[in-house]
Amino acid sequence: MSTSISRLYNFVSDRDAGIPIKAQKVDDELNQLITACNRKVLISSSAPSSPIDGQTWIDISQDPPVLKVYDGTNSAWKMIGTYNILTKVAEIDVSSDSDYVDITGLDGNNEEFYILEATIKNPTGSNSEYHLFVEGDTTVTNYYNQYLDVDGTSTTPNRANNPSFAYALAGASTFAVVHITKSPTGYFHFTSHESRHQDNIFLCLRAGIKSNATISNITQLRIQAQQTGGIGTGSRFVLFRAKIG
Amino acid sequence: MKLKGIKVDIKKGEIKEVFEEIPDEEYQKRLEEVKKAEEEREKRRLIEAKKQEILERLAQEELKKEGKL
Repeated sequence: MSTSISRLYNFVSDRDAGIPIKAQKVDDELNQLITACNRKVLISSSAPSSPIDGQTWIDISQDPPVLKVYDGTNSAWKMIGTYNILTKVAEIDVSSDSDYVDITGLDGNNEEFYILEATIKNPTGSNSEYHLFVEGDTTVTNYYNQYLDVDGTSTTPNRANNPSFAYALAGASTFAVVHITKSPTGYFHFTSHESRHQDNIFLCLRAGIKSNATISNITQLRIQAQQTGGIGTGSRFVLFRAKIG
Repeated sequence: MKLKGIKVDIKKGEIKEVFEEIPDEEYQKRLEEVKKAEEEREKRRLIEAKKQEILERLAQEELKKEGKL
């Protein structure tokens, strides 16, 4: 920056016996202060304007707030560290026997994946499969699941033409953790790890897909019991979204 | 057939009890699918249990022949 003649000698340093301070030095020090201020964490519902590389911002437009850092190389705000990787988006306690649970208002294109924790009590007198549908497509045969049941030293692998992610015997319960996503090729995928109470403890691993067509987004999910009233009182579903900056 | 459900809208933060009517034929079709899936599951379980039993017996016989059991 050039300094005009009129801006010279505006300040005098008392410490150095009246030696004039050039405006350039004042400008440089002010610029350093401004840079330091910019690097402080800003709390706002909108992104700070003219961000600099490494600047931090707490975005309070989301609940809970998200800590972000500016990546100057890619001109983008990135979520940092492990902060806010998983956010609980739904918690459902079933208070009366039901057939299905619909979860709407999702936006899979803006998330990495979803995690569903399902604790299901089957109050009926028959064994029940539990299906996971996406985008309102409840045609069972549009889906496949590949499973591996482990019962003591016995294992049963099989592929079934349905979107089953869990199974509970009559009057028994099951617990499944389900990872849900849309693949880069546009297909709905899930994997399920299930701990089932069946005489003793029973493990089931599954991979599921909606194989008949791709989807444009994951905006809604349906959990459906294959037995009427198969989602019993006391069942519980918790859905988390995973978003990595 | 009337199905009873729970609808959760995470954008609005709403949760409510809902009902859905499906034709009786559709419900019967679902029951058939459930029965078929259950039969298939049981068939696979029996086959795998038998395979395991046969392999276990063969393994024991082989190990006895080798003097390891």
